[in-house]
Amino acid sequence: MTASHAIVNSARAFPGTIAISGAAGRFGNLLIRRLHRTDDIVSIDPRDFNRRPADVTHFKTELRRRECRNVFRTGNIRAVIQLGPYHSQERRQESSRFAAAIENFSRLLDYCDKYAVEKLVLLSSANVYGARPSNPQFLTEEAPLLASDLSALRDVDMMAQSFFWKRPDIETVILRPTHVTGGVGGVMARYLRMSPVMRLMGFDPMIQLIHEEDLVQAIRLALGPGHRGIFNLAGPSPLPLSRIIERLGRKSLPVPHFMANRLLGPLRRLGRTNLDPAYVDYLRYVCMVEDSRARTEFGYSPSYGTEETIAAVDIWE
Amino acid sequence: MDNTDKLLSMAENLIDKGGTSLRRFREEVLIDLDGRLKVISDKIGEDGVDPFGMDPEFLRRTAVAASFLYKMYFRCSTVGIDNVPDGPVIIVANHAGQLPIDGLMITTALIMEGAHPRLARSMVDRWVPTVPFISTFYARNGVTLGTPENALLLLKRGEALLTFPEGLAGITKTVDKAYQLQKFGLGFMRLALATGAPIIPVAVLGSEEQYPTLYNLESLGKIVGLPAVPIWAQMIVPVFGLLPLPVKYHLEFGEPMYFAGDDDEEDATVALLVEDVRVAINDMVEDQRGQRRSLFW
Repeated sequence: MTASHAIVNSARAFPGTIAISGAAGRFGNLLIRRLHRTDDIVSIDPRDFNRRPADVTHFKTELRRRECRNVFRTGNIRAVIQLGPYHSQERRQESSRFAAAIENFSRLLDYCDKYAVEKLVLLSSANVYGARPSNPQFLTEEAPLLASDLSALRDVDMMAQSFFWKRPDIETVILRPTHVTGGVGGVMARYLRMSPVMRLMGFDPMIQLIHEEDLVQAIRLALGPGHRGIFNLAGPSPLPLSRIIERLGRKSLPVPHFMANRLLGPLRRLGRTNLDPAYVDYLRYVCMVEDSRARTEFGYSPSYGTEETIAAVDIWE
Repeated sequence: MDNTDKLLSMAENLIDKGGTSLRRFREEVLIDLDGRLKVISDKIGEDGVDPFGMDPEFLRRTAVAASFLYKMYFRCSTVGIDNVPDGPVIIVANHAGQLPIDGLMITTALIMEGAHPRLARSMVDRWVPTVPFISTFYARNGVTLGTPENALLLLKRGEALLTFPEGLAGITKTVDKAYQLQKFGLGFMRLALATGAPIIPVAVLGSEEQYPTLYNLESLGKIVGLPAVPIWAQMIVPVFGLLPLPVKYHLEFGEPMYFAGDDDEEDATVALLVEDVRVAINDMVEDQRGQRRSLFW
């Protein structure tokens, strides 16, 4: 890993205790390792979190459980970072997974409302806009959220938006990064790790990738005082999907787009791809974002270039 | 780039097999072209594509084939190309001929003829990105989905936009409506008002006759998902009937038109300004038609 590149921060990101929800995942793990030396962190996750740093307390619970309320009641938590809608790896039915995600997040908003939380950062995704043929090349934060197949992600994002007016005094930040590369399990990074990489014949959309360390840095900046609102995050300049696959030294497996959804099941069973069916359209249409608001508002700027960001796909512990 | 460039490779093969004169044509074109494309590719960073997916290397291959069509097949005669200024500009033309060869001719003229070669960024309808191969081929050559956001961004980057405000109503016309300009969309004028970019009216002759269309099977088009299924005259000739007739193309680039005002004005007010552009194009079309001696030379 290009650790020399990681930005070393000696200043506190936030003056109070930060609760990271979903911290036991790969990205949560990275975020905690980057934050715990400067900040007071507690982690909340229904999963075990054995690899956490020694100075981080872990609460193994879902947000909607009673013991989680106690964490907020007594833990002096002043900032919350919610990493995406799903934190459970249980193989539950889609409908109950969805219900759990929504219930958990609405409970979290309740805790923020009651227990003097000053800052809420939701890590959403640029995928909430949806990959559609009518998309402009770069979507702004005002674009409607049309990802009909990513309902939990979209609904959690919208719930955070309605929290803006419910508690205007709490600094709520929604971050919508493009596809994250690195050791994290982002959908696109996992998809690009397969060889050959499944593609849709005759379609080659422009793709934005963002390095996981740049995303960590963006979260750190968003924790700063006064920042609130919705922020797109893009990495270095975009490239066509085919070029990204070429630069990774992988081969493509082109399938006709009208058969993609039917082929996905068999291909997944054969271990030829790991793409979630909800993401097929992202191989067909552009879903890229304009991130000038994050750049001007809190000085976000990706420090990893195109080559490094693409190469980070292969970081896998 | 899977098979997106198959058609180009086929065209290149045809030129290779077409004998010495065609090969010489290609070499001559390339000598001129490389200098002209340098202006365009210099603006692209080391990633090799611009944010819209335009690839100068791909464009170069397309331009050779397009030059063949421009110079030999349609023997395009172009006047007024130096009316196109540097910087942001909106090029507006009449639209006809079932396939957007008129767009290709205007784009080729802007690369091959002007003192300052420019890449015209065509704006297309939203069904185009749903079509495999075509969508990718278009994007690599600088064609973009015609949304207001895309248009504004391109103008901000100092690019030249190419729009056909008649849209589908223009390109799918049957032969009895030839050279009757259809209703113009208002979008290009709002862009001009918002950005202050000048409008260059362009008259195209020849496109109306390349595929003289007798009938349009719109209901079949709805079933197969195409905006139009035209029946054209030369279809009675097998295979070669698919080719456009080798009519002579005439392009006239008019003087820049500047407009000022509120870009959020109501439709009726904007339509009055649009009418100025429509009249300017119509006058040039009628003028060129009066001078034309024959469809083919």
